[in-house]
Amino acid sequence: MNHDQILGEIREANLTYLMLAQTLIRQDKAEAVFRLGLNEESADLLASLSSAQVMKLSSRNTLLCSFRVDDSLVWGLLTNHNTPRKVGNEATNTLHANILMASRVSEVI
Amino acid sequence: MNTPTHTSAVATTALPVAAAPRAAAKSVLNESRQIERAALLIGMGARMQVLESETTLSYERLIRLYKEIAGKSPSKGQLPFSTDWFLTWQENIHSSLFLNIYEYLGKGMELDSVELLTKAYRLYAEQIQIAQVEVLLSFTRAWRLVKFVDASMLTRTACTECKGQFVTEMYENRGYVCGLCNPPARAGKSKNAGALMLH
Repeated sequence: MNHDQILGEIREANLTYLMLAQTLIRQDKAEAVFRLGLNEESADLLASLSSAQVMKLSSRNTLLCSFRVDDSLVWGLLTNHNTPRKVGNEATNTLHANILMASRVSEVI
Repeated sequence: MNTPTHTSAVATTALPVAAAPRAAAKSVLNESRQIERAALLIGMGARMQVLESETTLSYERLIRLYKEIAGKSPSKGQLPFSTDWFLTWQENIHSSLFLNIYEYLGKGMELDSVELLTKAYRLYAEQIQIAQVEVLLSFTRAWRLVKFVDASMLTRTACTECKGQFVTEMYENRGYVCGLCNPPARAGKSKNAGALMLH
């Protein structure tokens, strides 16, 4: 991938993310807050962006969304790899990861 | 017929909550809102006790509405009045997931109680279905769990190993370890399809 392609891909990913986020928020804001891991204020802000603003925001050299699986335990559980001690099956590990991720209330405050 | 005993059993649990707003609720607009609320709850599979607690409609109207929407009479009898169900291994995992989503939404958004309950329940059921596990926590049980937490009969405690929040009794030990970090000996052995397993 050359330099221009990389910038193009990032813009594409940003655009897709912002458009999906807007659709989710407009459809059901509470659900969107949970799915996106954003607080209500950010959700309102995102939903109010015009198409022109979305286009402009997308054209950057960095991604606008960040990775939510930021600790090794959740990562291990989700990939079913290197799980702690007693090994659960995939479904059990997925639910454990979901419980951990839904415990992170600080995301939305 | 066991109707008289049933109504009295329900009345004792539902009256303190429902009596106050009922007096003030003479407006047609409010009534239509209440019917909408009740219809939503019936659609989620709520039992009569939930409807009586969460709406201001009379028992008779609720019964009629229930029959009209569900196409059958509501199940009779009282709800189990024990916190034990939420504390057994598999049930605790489901309950903890639901309650975490419920608290997450409650902190993140201003929602009324019925919206919060139904949205949290839908998201819980969705995650369970994606994991291809049976939805063990019914809507009525989820409501019950929230009531137990409101009444300080159950709470959430952080696991000292994985730091996740789990449904526990009020005064859990300081070194609490959840059922997923330290499963009890007999956990995860169920042969039922859709049950959680360890291996």
